Amino acid sequence: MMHFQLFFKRDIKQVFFNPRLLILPLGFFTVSFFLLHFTVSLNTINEQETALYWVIFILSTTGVLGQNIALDYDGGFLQSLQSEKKSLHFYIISKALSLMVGWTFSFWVFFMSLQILQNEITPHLALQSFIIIASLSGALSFLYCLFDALFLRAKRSPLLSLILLVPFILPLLILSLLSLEQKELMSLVPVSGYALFLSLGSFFLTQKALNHT
Amino acid sequence: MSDILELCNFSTHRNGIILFEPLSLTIEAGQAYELRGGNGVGKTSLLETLSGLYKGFKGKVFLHKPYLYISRRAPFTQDETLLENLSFWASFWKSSENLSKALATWDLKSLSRLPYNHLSQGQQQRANLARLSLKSAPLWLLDEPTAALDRQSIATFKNALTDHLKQGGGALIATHYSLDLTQQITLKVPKTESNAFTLGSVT
Repeated sequence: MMHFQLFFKRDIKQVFFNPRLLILPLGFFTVSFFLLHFTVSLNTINEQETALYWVIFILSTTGVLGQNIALDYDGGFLQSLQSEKKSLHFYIISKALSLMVGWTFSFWVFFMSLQILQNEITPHLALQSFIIIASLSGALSFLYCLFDALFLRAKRSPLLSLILLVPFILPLLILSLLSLEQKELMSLVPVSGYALFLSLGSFFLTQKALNHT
Repeated sequence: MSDILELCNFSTHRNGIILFEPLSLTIEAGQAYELRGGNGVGKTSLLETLSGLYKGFKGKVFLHKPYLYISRRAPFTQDETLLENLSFWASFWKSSENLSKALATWDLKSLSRLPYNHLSQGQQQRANLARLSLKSAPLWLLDEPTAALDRQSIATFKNALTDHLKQGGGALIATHYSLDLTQQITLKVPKTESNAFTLGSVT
């Protein structure tokens, strides 16, 4: 059980505070919004269509789970655990749970937004959910880096901290766009979100490449 | 003296091909062996087999547990600080009280707040070796422990090894760098038909 706690602490930190993993939930949001906007009408969501979102969610979680385990394998972490002759059950359970917590948290807000929309409550709520989550995750990551820099004196890249500000600031910009017509706004969100996802992704990949040279 | 590791006609094979000539070896308490051999002869495979990562072997093995296998890849999270990474393993082995001593021994205190991926190769290797100070294991299985280390760090490693042996431990160390140990063993590629590769032919 002690090992499970150790793994879970490590994994949850990775899910919520690793800037690279932050891209994935944001990307998932934007892609989901993209799908929502272009494939279904906001006011006619039926059970079949919500099931589609669950399928996307489960596939994404499984994909990230695989990616996470592959990262640990490449880094030699998994081999070290194996050489300790400890059961890997706790490792897998912790990994799956932490990712489920991370993703479910994000997805549930999105899903609830759909439910709200179904009940013909203002569609802005769905967007606001996205804004709140993006703001929170951005702010948390930024605060984490700031805390590290100030109190733990960890020398993380200043550029990385700056990039982390982007998801924090962007929702505020979106908020200012709320005065636009609903249709205009909804077409802006997936496009700008997807652009942000791609730019963040390329930034982090560059950052990763720089760190390894 | 008690045996820590005993190999009898031991060899490792991959895809049905035996990597090195059968090996018999006994490591007693207070003994360390240098495992030598050219690139690709199977030094890492031998250590991986002994540590349970690879199952393909022939012969008999007696292995005293617990042991500690330090591979060339440190099992550290790249973005986390050195302290966070070592703390994880200290907690994993229930040896948090040894953490500050490990940092001091391997001269890592000043680097402990840096993310692991900001360290140089030599510093990363020192961090990897600092795990030796965290787990109490009679047998050390080490793969190229001196790779990328400077003279001072190699001396630190040799001191740690000497202390370990004095306390009744043993070690099997795959290395290209001579550690001046009296016990050495060299792996040799077997020259048998079963080991020959067939590249195919063009007609």
